[in-house]
Amino acid sequence: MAKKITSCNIQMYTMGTGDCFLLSFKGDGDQKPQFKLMIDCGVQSISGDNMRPYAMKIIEETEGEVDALLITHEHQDHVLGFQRCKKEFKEHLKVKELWLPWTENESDALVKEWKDEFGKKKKALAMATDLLNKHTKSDLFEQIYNVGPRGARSFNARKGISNSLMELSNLNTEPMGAAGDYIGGLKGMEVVKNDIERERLRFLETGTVLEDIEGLQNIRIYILGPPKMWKDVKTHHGKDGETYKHNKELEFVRAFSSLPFEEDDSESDPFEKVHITQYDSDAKTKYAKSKNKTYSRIKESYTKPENNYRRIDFDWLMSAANLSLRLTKGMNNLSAVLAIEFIDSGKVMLFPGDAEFGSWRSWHEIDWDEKGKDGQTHLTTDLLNRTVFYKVAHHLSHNGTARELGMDLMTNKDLVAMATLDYDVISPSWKNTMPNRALLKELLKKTSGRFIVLNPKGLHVDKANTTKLTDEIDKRLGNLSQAKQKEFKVDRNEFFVQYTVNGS
Amino acid sequence: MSKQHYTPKPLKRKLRGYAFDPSLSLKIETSDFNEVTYRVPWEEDLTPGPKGEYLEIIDFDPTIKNSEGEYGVFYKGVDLNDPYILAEDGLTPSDSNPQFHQQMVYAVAMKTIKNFEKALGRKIIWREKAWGSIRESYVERLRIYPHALREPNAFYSPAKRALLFGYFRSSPSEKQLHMPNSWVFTCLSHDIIAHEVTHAILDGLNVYYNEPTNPDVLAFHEAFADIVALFQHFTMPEVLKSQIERTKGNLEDQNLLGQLAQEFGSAVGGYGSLRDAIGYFDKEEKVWKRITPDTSEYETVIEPHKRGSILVAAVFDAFLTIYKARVADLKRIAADYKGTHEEGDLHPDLVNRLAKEASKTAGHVLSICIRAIDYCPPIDITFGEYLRAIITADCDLVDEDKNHYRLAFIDAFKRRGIYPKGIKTLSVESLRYSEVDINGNSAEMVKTLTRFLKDYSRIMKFRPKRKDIFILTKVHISGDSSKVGLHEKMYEQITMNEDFELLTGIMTNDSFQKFGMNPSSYTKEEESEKPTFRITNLREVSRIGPTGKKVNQIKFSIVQTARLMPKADGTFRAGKVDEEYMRFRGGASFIFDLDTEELKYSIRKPIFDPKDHSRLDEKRLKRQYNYQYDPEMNGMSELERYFDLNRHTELQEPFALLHNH
Repeated sequence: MAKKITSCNIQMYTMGTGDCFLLSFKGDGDQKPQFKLMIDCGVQSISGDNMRPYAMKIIEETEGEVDALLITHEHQDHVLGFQRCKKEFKEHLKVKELWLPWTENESDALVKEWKDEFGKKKKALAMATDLLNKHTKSDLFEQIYNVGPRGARSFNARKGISNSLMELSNLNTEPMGAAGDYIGGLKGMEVVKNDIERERLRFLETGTVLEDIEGLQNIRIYILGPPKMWKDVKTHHGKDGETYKHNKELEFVRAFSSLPFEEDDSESDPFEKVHITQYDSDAKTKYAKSKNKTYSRIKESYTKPENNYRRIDFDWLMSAANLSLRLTKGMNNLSAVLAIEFIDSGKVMLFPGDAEFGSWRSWHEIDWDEKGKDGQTHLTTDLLNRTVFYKVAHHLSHNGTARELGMDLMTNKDLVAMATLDYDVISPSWKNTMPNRALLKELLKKTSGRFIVLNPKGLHVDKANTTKLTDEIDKRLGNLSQAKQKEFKVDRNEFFVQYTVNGS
Repeated sequence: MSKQHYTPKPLKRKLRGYAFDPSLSLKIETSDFNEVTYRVPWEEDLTPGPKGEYLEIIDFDPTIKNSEGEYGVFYKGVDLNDPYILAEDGLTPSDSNPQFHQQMVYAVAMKTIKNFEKALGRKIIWREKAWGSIRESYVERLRIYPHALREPNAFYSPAKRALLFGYFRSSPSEKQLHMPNSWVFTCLSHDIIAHEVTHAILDGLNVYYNEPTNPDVLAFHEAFADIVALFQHFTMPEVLKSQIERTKGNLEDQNLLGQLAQEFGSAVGGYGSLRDAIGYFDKEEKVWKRITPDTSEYETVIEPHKRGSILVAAVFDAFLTIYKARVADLKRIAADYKGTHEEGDLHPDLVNRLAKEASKTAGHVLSICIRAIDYCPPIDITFGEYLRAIITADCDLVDEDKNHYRLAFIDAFKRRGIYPKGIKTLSVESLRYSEVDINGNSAEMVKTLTRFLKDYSRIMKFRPKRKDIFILTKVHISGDSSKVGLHEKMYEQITMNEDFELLTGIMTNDSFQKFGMNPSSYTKEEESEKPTFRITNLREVSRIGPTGKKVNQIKFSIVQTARLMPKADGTFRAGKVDEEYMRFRGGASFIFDLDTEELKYSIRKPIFDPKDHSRLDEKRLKRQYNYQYDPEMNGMSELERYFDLNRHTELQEPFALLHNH
């Protein structure tokens, strides 16, 4: 006989920067969980050998079966584990229900259309990144950028951009094959979709509530994201004159780069071929000869070695920087966002994936069937008010947590937060935006130190890097009452950190 | 062309182009005046490209594969001396012909250069190279690449001394605003071209203005580029008249003159132009609204374009105030006349008269803005200092401010909360920089300088060639075997110590080595060491004001650089050569009056603490450090932060990513 769920044990696996959670829901006095929910299994980078012990630990902890596996979004730091340990997961993990955001439902024609377009952008990013990366090793690249007394810096800065770009590209899509062929979406996602044994597939529709799930008595799951906005955009497209809300965060699809790799064929070049000139060695007419002369003169000026610093052969590939960031943000905003509520107590656990500002804003525009508990507040606001556990979105970046529409609304005195940041395993460029100091301070304040970071080593709370995060956490925890200190129990072992949310 | 000419050489070359950009040719209400004929100087030696005295347009598109499958093709370079093209005043405006694109960038860039030279009173010289001999360091032509990028972006690259224009597929937010997925070329927008050329010109005038040391610096670059592009609208009579008709002479109503980059704005998903000096489009209500000046913006807005817009709005506001005052009489006459005339459009004669006043006023305002550059400190510019420069420059050239131009400027800046630091009241008298106070000690130095600069002026007379101007000037600064240069002359004056410091704003006392400033190579064995400094921007200026008053001046700047490494405790140590150190500069701009043979102004921004010359100006240093090193404070975009393009690192491309939208 199923009992009401009154607690949830949360294990955060600690491979490195990236999300991998196991949630075990129990009723009072239960030895074994009634429902096991796994959320993502990713890390920015890891070898198969290093991943294996974690995978085996997950299998051990779940006894080889989870009731549901949720993939929030297709980024390496959320799915790489499946690729690295495909065999282990395939052979030893059973999934009763695979949960994916509705944006993965390709049987929907609109989703399909959009995904194709998104796919083209990813391909363009992979190709531009690959090309740029190859060029950075060329002599010409150095001749162009390493000029003058401080040229080395400029040259190195550009190589740095190329590296950062590679990191972002690899987060979104498989790198180009050795033969220069585009491989496509992330393998980890394919493993989840095609290889891991499952009974059912469920697409999570934003604005709906999952109730009466077997094994989850007393639990309701609200689906807050991904935003419906872009779908609205598409739906309205056919009708002239009708307007829709312009959503900058999601309208990244086209204009922000028009790299040629996105085009299907050269028919779409901006000019007719006749405008392109090259040397015509058969030139006989006066016109053809003068054309040759003009061409040679311009080309000579462009390619003269002493003018190399003025060449523009590679600058256009830097457009990929903008594209990469927009694609990444776009994908982050397509994260499935779950607010898990203990019905009786009203306590909420928030799992927003890597949702960024655009997504947070959209939660407040969801047309819920009901209002908040007081009958007036928008349900989203109410859910945030009641949040006692927050999985910090997007590894403590500035955009990962909205301020007024998010942090400020999380007013519960007993808030606990968990963040998946690890300075030992992270792309160097991510350190430039993570953690955001203001957010860090706010979280420390809101949680009174009940703040669990995947690996707090190397993190500081101040600009000058003098106050360690761990010291600050300890200081704040010390200020809590004895009772509260006792309640806040965190276990850490070599595989995961765990904390149990009391839902009663 | 034949050597024998029976007709005199033409003064102008006529080239057709868009007044704004291709999108306005598609709208009935704007198509009539959107095609204009640009009149640019006749360049005898213009070769295909075009390549002339100032510009070299190279239409290399690195994004298209050539017949061998490699990236990079050349589009045919236009020959503007082709008789067929000459006979037709250039190629017909068209977005599908790259040769027209080349013609368009050439025409607008040349026009901008010439407007500048007129106001500035001297020839434009591009930013020099930092390597090679004097001769090798000269950059004769600005490169223009009309099809360099595949994104909604265009920028000036100081490292390449080049303009890179992008093209992209449009993504309008509403279909009726722009055709979705159509090609948009930034090199076909008058505003974008004028804007980017202005960046290049300004960088040639002062290299330190693209060094972001406070939130105003990059914003100033952006604002200045916008101001030039905006006021250039007023030099096109057809455009001006149409807008005067449309607004019935009330230029503070929505009109094209105050808007920038129409096509670009709607193609990237906006409503209308990219920027607007007087209003904005309210997305909720779907109407255009006037901006009301807000004094808090200057305190809070940091992103360079947005911050720049505050300055643009102030200048445009000053223009409108002056224009309204100048046409008040015409309006009264028209109001009387209306009684006997039917309601509706303005009388064509009135339109002409209003247009004339608007054009004249715009010309004056633009000249004032350009001239003021010479009166700014050489480094770390702020909007407040720019206001002081505007007032000072105008006082020099126009004795009596009958039309209250200066008050209009002061008022417009005041309404946006832009106040210069360190002045007690806001009046013309207090804003105007005071003339140099020469005491006994500095008199000797000024005398030496006077002799030197007079000599320089004599040698520079009648030098029409930019290359000669550049080389001779450089030789005058650095000296050669036959002559002691200005740099060494200044160096010799350092003995007077305290007074020299006060006059120049650079540190010459013994403390300088603590701050990573190198000792000079001039130092003779028996002397104690003295610091290096740099002399830049030496130029002779001769201007004629609107009232006919002539001003003949020589200007130059002196700049000193401290190289500092920030330490964890908030202090600094001297930076080493291979470190990523922070540059903290100080110095002054000098203006020397050739007619009175006096050093007139020394516009300073000292490197040292005014109360203790052995210390750096720590207040300013702290501000600069906080601004450059804290991405949460300096308005850097996520893109810049992610790719680690800090304000203090040297990518040498401050505008490349800044212009991303």
